[in-house]
Amino acid sequence: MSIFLGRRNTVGLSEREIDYCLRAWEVLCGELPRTLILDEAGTDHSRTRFVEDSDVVYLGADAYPGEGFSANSRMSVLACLAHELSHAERYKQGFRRPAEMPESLIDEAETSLNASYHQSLSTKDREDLREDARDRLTDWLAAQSLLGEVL
Amino acid sequence: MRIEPTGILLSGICEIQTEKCTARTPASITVVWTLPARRQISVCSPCIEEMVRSGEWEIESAKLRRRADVAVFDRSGNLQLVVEAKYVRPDEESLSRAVQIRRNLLAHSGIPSSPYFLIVFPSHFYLWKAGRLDKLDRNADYSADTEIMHTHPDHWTTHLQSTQALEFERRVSEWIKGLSASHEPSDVPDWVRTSGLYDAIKDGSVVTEATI
Repeated sequence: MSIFLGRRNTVGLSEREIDYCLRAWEVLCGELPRTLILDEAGTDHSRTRFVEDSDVVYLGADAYPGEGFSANSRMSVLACLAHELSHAERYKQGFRRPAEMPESLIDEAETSLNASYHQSLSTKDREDLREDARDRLTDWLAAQSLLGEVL
Repeated sequence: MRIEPTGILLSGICEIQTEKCTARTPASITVVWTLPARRQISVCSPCIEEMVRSGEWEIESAKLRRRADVAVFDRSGNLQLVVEAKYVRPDEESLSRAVQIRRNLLAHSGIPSSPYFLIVFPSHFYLWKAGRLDKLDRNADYSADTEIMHTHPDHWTTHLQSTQALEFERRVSEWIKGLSASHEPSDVPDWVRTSGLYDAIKDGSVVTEATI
């Protein structure tokens, strides 16, 4: 487990919180609406994620920040959903995510970096996404070093 | 003008209301600050993009979706021409405005590099040909008068501007299609031939509202 990729919220979202997430999603998508699946959002420990097979994003409890100190833990709802939208846009552009660790960390880093350029993000959101990208690359480098030691 | 998004989300009416606006009635919008005055503006997402694309707003560290009002690909499928059609008031049609629009689009990655880039106002064209040392704020290589919209409305309203802008984009697209399909060089304006644009787009495929 990474020392950086901390803990986000795990408590199922209230209707008001789900409404806020929907608002964030609409602002991020702009004139190109995308489906955000809400079915699981009220469930504890549910995860926000892009599902390639169906090309949709699921909203989960972890769309809200948690109590950790890392960029990943503290990033806002807007930044978190910008990251998922970036997965969806990259998929449309032909990028396919490696399923295996640690290679998937590079894709996650690129996704956060790409998301950080979204026009609607605040300066703080951009910084958090870039810091998240850096943390994931740091984890990838650490995993490479461990592999090197094993070899 | 430089602006800074705040990340604040709310339901409300967009203060900008470009032709792309999605919040003329209450909808999801966000809040931006002007810099350095820090005036607050409530705005929908498509209007943020439109204001940057029109050269009026700049957002540090932001990139736009890559799209073109009209894009023309040659017979091999290579992008040759990107067109931005801007339906602006007569007093806003100027080279400096065109330069500002191009600068913003390049600075925010809103258009890819292409051999030709054309800005069309209702009464003027400005054409850039790709060069080796291409500065963001370089003047156009060619300009010409035209009359794609034969008349400007006497009174500008947001609604009228929105309707006319769509009609203007359609006419620009038709005009480009006509150029590309033309096999009679005498029908083609001089500046289109001498710039090499005619040869570049001849018999090409013309795509409107293209994501590129």
